Amino acid sequence: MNGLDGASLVTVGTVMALYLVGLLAIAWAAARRTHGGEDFHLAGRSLGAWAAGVSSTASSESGWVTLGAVGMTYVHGVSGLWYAPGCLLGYLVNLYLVAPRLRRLSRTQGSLTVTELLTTRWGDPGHLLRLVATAIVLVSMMAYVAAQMTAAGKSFASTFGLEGHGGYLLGVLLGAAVITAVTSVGGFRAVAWTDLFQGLLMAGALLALPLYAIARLGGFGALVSGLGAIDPHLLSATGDRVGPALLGFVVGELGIGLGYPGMPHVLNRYMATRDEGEIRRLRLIGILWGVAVFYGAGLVGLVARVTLPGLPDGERALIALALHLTHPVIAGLMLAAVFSAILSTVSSQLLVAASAVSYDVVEGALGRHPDDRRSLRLGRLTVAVVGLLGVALALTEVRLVFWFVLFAWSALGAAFGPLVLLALAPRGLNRYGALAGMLTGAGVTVAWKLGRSVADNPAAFAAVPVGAVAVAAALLLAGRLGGVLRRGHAAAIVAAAVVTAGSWWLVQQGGFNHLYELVPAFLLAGATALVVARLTSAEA
Amino acid sequence: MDSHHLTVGAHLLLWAFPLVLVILAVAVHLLPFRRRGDTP
Repeated sequence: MNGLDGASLVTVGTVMALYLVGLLAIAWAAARRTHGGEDFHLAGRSLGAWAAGVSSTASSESGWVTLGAVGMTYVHGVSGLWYAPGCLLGYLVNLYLVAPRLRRLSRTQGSLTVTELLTTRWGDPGHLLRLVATAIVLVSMMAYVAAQMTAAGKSFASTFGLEGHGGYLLGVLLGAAVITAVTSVGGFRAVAWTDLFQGLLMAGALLALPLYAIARLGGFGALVSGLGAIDPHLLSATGDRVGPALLGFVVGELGIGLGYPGMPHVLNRYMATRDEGEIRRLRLIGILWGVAVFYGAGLVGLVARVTLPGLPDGERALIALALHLTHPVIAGLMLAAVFSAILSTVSSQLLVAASAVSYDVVEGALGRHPDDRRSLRLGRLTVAVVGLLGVALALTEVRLVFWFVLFAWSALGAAFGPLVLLALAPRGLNRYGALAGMLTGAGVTVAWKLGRSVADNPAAFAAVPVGAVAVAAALLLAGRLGGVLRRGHAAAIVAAAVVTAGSWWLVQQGGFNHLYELVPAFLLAGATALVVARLTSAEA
Repeated sequence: MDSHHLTVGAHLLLWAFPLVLVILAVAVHLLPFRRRGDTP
């Protein structure tokens, strides 16, 4: 419960309503400039530095940054902040290495999606690579969308004190209706423009709130002494870890950054940027935004721990601090910032999921049509259907979805990240290596995570090797029946299954179970891709 | 390295990193590095 009186609730609610109306107005303006498929899927490759820069960063940071990251430092203190340099390392790679090269490659190829970029880069005559890429994108994105809608519903219900009174349902429906309308009507341009609006709101909120709260507390000295008085461990940057545990912890936290080059909903911002000059400006905007948001979120958690030490759930620290310290209008803006983090990610992922179906599969199978308006209509319809599916998953709270979402960041990062980086190199990989890398990245993510928790979950013990063999057999059979399976494909599928099962065995040998799964999955995916490409170089 | 030095080093890394990053990003943006393909 939030302790707000009726008048304050009305004020907070009004600010939230204005924010949602603002999103719809931006979408309407974007829709007036959206006339065809390239407009819908990539904003006609016309984004400027601000829209592309803030949109790429805001869409990569979900409700996790305003809820989870804040909760990390609230609960663990300074040592909960290590995600920040990890994420910023990922920003560095994306902004300085990937962005300019990816923009040039996608423009040269005429690719509109990351899947199309990868399949065109190495050729995919049997469509096996496209099939696997689409499946990974769809499963990961739908799980993400449903989980974000759930987060929106829960934040809405708890802020307005409507838990158990239909608040969750209302929050999910309101958030989903607005964001599906925005994405469906305005396509990529609306998503990028609303991301810019929401991203600036997030950065403003996450900078202003902690600085104001620290000033109210009496300055940084008071923050440090306040944390020390609650528990001296909160001031330890290592969380009092030493030796291999510390090394595994820091490598794992920094390893979060490995995910960024593999996020299709981030990479397509660079593909949509107008020219090289805008990419150059976009880099500075992205770095400044990232530092403000990650360190701002960390500081919110720290200062909330001193100001409101008894919160039952650290993830609610931002909203609780805003309601405690600020005027209801400002608190409404802070709540809008929490929703912005969620909805900017949902819109981007909805569009990627819809593009995977309507552009990569349906249009890919039917052939690109000279009538570009068909692509637009198909895209809009698919977004609406995918949005409804996300709502259905969020409302039924299907357990499987929340199981999948645990893997989504790592699976996308490991399946696509190494391939995107290798796609930008002049040589080294071929289509078979790419298939092996993609399957290995997704497979090792699942195997490592299950391997780590095998003591708690004996059923998982057998599931990984059985699953790896089953997926490999299904792909081999599908390729054979479709008449597209070559020896290189078979080598890639078998290699991925062997590495997946091997990694599951490795993680249980002890010493590795502190390591975040993205790190081994990314490295093994890249290595497997290169080895398979080398072995099949004659065939390709 | 004892745990005191370790935690001081970790603090430095954690808090100096964003400052160095911002300074470098601004410097790279402002300094006239020539891009590939630019004419002199």
